[in-house]
Amino acid sequence: MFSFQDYAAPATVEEALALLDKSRKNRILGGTAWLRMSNLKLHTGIDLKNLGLNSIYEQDGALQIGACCTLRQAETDPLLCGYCGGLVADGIFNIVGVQFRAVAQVGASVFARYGFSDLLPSLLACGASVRLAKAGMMPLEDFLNRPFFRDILLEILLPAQNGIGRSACLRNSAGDFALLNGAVYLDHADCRIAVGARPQCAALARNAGEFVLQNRGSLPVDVLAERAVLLASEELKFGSNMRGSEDYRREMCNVLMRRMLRPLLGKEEGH
Amino acid sequence: MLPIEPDEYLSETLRAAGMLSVRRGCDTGMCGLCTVLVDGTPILSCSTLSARTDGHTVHTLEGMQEEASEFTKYLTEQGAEQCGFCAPGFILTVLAMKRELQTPTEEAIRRYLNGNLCRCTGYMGQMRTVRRYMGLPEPEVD
Repeated sequence: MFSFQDYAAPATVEEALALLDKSRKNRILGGTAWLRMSNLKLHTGIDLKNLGLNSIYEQDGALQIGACCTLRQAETDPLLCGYCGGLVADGIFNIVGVQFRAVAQVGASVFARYGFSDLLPSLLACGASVRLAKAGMMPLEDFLNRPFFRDILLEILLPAQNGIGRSACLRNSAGDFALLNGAVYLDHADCRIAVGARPQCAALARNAGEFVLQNRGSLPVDVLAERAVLLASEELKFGSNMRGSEDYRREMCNVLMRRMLRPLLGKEEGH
Repeated sequence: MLPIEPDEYLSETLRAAGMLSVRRGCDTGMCGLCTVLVDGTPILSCSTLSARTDGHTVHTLEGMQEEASEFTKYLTEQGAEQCGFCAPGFILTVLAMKRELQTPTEEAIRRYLNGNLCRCTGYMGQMRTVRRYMGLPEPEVD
């Protein structure tokens, strides 16, 4: 079972970084809901609870989510609930139960790049960026594509935008990990489609998004959605695990995309 | 002040201190049996480090007898208590839900309670109980 010898709750980011760099056996704790399932034997568990990273606030129209915010905070926060039609908040409520979501932290889900994360597709679709203590700001997509490195995630930043979004997931049973999840963001200049739990970490389907942007208005909603769906399932890689095979996931990706795209494109056309 | 190990979880600490209403169920964060309230918010004590709750108020069922007894009257009235193993976590979640949900609906209640698993009741009795306790009308039956 997961264990560590020392617990530290540093008062500054610098102290936390110094502790993290001191030994490879020192680790940031996050919410500890998932970490506790591992067999890691650590020296020091570093708790970021004293760094003031547990609030969600607005700055110049953009939203900033502290890394220590719990999923429950994100799900119920009025700012996030109103952001892009509740795209981020809607992606969260399916995760186990309120007690679990009151423990699990947003930053841990993002920094650990869990393949099963229901949060990552929504954040990717929103065009989120991350702010790290050492590496600074970078788009979330770049962060997810980089090899793992030791750093501290401080904040997730959502840009000011007025589009609409939708998220969806498929589960074998409630409370289980998603066998596939996704999110779509749409406005006059952007269409971002993200799919996660493939079972790899969430990724953007850029070709499908481009296709929607270029052909909206010229193709009927159903045709546009159908073609975008096919493009998304072609350009993304899928894999197999105990929840579903690669082929099953590819087929289900079509279903998931349709469920998200059709209502959004229809709403845009005033249907 | 309770003596704790650095990597000790809250459920272990509370049980060692005699709070036996805190049940150990799945130990994977799925069942909700170990639910306690930290500053009024229901959390999984099996997944929360004891050290993290330093300076916060932790409530187990032992400390909420008065509020709980009001709800348990409804629970027994509906025959929804059954074996009772999941009851402490379920009761605490319902008490927190009553405080938190301003305008409870059937869907909001189901969403709030979906982290509390019960292997006996099939949830129908529990839902009847919660509906009455929260003052919701009975659903129409065809």
